[in-house]
Amino acid sequence: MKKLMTVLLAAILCLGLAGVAMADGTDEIIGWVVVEETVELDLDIPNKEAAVWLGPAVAGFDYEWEETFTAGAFKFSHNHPVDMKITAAAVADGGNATNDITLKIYLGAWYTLLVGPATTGSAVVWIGPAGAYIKTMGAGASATLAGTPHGTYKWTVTFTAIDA
Amino acid sequence: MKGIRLKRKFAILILLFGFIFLADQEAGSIDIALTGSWSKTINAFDLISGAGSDLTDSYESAPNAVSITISGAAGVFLNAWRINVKKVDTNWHGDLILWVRRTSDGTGGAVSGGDGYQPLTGTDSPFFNGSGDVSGIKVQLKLSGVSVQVPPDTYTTTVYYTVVDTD
Repeated sequence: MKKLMTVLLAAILCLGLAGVAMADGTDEIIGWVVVEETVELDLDIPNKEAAVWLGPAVAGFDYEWEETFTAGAFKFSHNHPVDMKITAAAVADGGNATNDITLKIYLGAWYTLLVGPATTGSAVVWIGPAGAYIKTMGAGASATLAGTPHGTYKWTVTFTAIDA
Repeated sequence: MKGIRLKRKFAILILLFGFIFLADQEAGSIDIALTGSWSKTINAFDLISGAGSDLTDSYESAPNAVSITISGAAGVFLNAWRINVKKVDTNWHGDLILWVRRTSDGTGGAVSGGDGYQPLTGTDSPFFNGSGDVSGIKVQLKLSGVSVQVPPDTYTTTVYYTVVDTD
């Protein structure tokens, strides 16, 4: 009987060791995430137009500087590992009369796009790291009575985002 | 008397080999097999509300993205086992967190635990427990921590599922 007990203990010990040392298997799956370039720029201006009216406020004086703002009009998201910059480029409509209008864009500060009689002009209006941005945007203009006859003047302003 | 002693020794030897055989069969042959994988492409369509907003933070796989089958645990006695899980990154971003949870019991033996999301790390963590052979245990993955602060790239990790005999 003594021998039997010894053998049983040895056998149980074997079982225990096997349970700890031998009893596992491993399998694997591979998962991946592709984060694509995310650059979205939108200008939420009513009808995509910013109208600035220039008119002499007081007889005997020149046009006053005029400006208009739209809260939250500038919406931009980007995930580039480097800063991005946004350039605003203005191109005068072919029907514009010769003028001396100075056209500016506001995006935290005023940036001059062009000064008449030039018909094109551009400026870097924003630089920043990856993030999501919503900002107030504005447009402003000034001119002289002598250099800008009454009328309607139009420009198309194109905003382009590229790595800074 | 000699005859009786011989029979006793024979019985002892049979008993001993019997235990060893059971030990090998139950402990050494538990196996785990997986099918499935998960990939996710994130782009501008995943912005919460278009330009000016951030990317959606988290994404879930299908509830049955991964299927696990445990075999070799249905001997004379049902073997109890535990699934450990970890991930080994190939290219990963520190902001990204991968989660895992069990969404079905499968068929066969018994399964418990692991039905709430738990984050995966680089070291083995207990996932869920079970006993006996079970097939078709479904697992769902979740990715969180996504934002525009995570640069464009392909991030890859391998999830390791290990079955451990707990008997």
